[in-house]
Amino acid sequence: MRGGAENLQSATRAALRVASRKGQVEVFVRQAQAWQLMRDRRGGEVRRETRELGVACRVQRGELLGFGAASGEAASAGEVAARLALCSLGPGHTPLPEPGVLGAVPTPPPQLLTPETLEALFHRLDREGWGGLLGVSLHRTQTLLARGEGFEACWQNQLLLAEWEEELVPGVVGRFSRVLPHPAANLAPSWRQLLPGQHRGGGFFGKRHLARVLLAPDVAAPLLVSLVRSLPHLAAPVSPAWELADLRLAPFSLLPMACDGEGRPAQDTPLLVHLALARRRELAPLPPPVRLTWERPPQPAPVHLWQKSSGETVEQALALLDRGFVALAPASEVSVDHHGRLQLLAVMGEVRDGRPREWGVGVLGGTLRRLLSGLSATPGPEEHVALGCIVTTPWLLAKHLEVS
Amino acid sequence: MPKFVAKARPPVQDLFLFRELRLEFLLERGRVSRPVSRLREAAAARQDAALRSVDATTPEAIAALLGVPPRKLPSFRWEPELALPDPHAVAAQLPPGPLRVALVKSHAVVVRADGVFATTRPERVEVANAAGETFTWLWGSEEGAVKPAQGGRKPPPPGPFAALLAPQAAAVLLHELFGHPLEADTFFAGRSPWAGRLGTRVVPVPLFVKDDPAAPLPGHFLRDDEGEPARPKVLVASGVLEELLADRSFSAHLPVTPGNARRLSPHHPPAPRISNLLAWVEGGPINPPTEEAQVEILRVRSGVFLPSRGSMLLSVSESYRLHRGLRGERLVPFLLELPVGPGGPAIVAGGGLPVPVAEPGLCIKDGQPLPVGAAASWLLLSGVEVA
Repeated sequence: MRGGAENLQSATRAALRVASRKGQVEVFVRQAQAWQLMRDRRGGEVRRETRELGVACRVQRGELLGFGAASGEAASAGEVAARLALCSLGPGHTPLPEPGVLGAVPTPPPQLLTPETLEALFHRLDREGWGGLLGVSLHRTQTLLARGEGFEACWQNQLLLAEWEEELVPGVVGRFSRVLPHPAANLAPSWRQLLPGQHRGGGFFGKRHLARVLLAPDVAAPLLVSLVRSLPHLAAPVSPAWELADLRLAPFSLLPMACDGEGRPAQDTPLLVHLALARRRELAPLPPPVRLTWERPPQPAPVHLWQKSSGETVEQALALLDRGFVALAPASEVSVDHHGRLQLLAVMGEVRDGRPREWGVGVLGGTLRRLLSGLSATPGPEEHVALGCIVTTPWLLAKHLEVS
Repeated sequence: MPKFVAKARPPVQDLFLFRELRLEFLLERGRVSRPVSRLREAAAARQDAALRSVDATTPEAIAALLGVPPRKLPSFRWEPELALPDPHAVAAQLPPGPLRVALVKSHAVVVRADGVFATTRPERVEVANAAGETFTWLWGSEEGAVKPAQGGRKPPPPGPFAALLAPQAAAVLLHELFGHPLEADTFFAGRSPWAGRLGTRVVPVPLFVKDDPAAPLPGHFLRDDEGEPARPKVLVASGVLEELLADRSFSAHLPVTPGNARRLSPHHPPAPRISNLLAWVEGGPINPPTEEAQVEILRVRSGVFLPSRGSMLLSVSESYRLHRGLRGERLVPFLLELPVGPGGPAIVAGGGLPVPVAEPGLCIKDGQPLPVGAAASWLLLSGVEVA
């Protein structure tokens, strides 16, 4: 990344110069470069190149803490971020961690891909007939977290993403995204094999059914994110089928990091395992804090959620399901109310005798408690879905969901 | 210039300079906590089908964007002043919370071959309540109602029924029903129920839907993000589909007028977007006919058009059963299906005067949340069902 390390250092020095005598100081700098190649809605090629540099500064004075953030030229952004932090001192923020708990784990730099690789990937997918391909993008970031007391951690990440749109049932276009671990990775979602054109329909599923539902990765991923957000408030038995973790360490995490969003050494966090709820809570109330972007204070959030596959094929799972529903793709966002009731529109098929028959758009509902306790199996291949975080998930076979 | 963006350098269409200051805080029981301040400064250049952007507005950064040496740039200085407001002054004008509050101030200019245009953007308040519902209004104007929608326990009636929509719910419905589907990119992608129906009557009553960026509402601008003058557009006139929201890329090839391009930041490309949507029924009475409806809908969270069903689904978050015109039990949140067949949606009556409302607040399309304003009157729908 052009001028990467110097920019990070320059921004950090500028912020520390302004704020270090005014309290305890933490500086977070992220420099990002992204290349995107996409098709516009008229079929033309559109190219984007973005360079971002953002600095966030937290200053703690007594019980007050200020957070300021600024983008721009490195030194100037560092200075502005520190000044804004000093102007924003107030109560209610989480205090900075004690210097004694700060630390970093080794994070090997990624093997950098070039924009030419991206171009080759785009044209390969074009040749493979991804007519609805919206685009591919390559993202590189370099991050530095420093404390006025002398702690410093620096790491690099790289992500290759693909996004596309696909008409699943007439008139209903789903939008999909995947993280590609490498440019040669297979992009085809496993649900494609279940959706032959002649079975497509367009209706709803009539009155509300309480049913077993097989959720494809694109439906499972947003539900997993909602589930993790609500974990501290959920009291329910945990199904033995769960094996869900938040990955932050190389080589398994696709976004490895040296430390969390506050400077503690990064770690993988088991979130749901086959244990009683009380013990699970002791293990992992929430993922550790992270900087989702330089613009926001650290907050507990997943980085790379990973649910292990139980190994059965999707066909075996359908045979196991026998009667029920299969949900392939969301047609709306997941809404979860404060009672943990979830609802989303999804492209679904009714399964009879282990085979999907009628396809249409249905309302998938239920509660997060039922999802937590009613998971029967996690079949199929694991796919890397890109949401606000990465979600690597197989299919989820869940009991007691509502379909209408 | 790197090969990736432009192998043969086409002329620069426009340069966009942007600076935005946000103050955010939590408001709980009237007390301000967790204040956060943020300044974003960035620039972007468009060349043919390429967009380059950088987090800086210095002459060096702009020269690099344009692919010229800094000495070739004319001397310029762009340092708009943005002062940080006092959060307690903002909080004093709001209900006690809990709320996540943001006060946003921004400046932007578009530099084109034919001039430099400032896109006036008003200071605005953005609020998210505990239920995650978002609201916006202009700083200094009367604050919106920001209470979370209240769901009840009673199920809605099953069969086709008439529903009375309060202005806040009507604003969300019309935003989804006419706003997005009449944005040129959606319209020409064949994802609009109105494709091929411009000039035809789609509502039986004299409904007017106007996008007016000049109105003093949160989507206000006098020049759009391509530097085009803001133009009020009547999307639906007396029930007939009239105009599309478009940007320069569409107006270059099609008989549509530009002026509706908006973007979240220089890192995003501009696209046709709703600004402030005003809606009313000409000659409609001020008081709604409550006795003609079985359900009164106060709040709608979102809507989605389903071409396969020829209908629109609305996520109703607060509603009441009506008994002979009087409000009865509060209903559970439910999905309402509004048929949008060849005859159009069954909007059978509406009120005469649009009332400014704070929802939908922030509108997200293609990952870009933008503030939108709305003013609507009540609407009466017939033949709707629970999905």
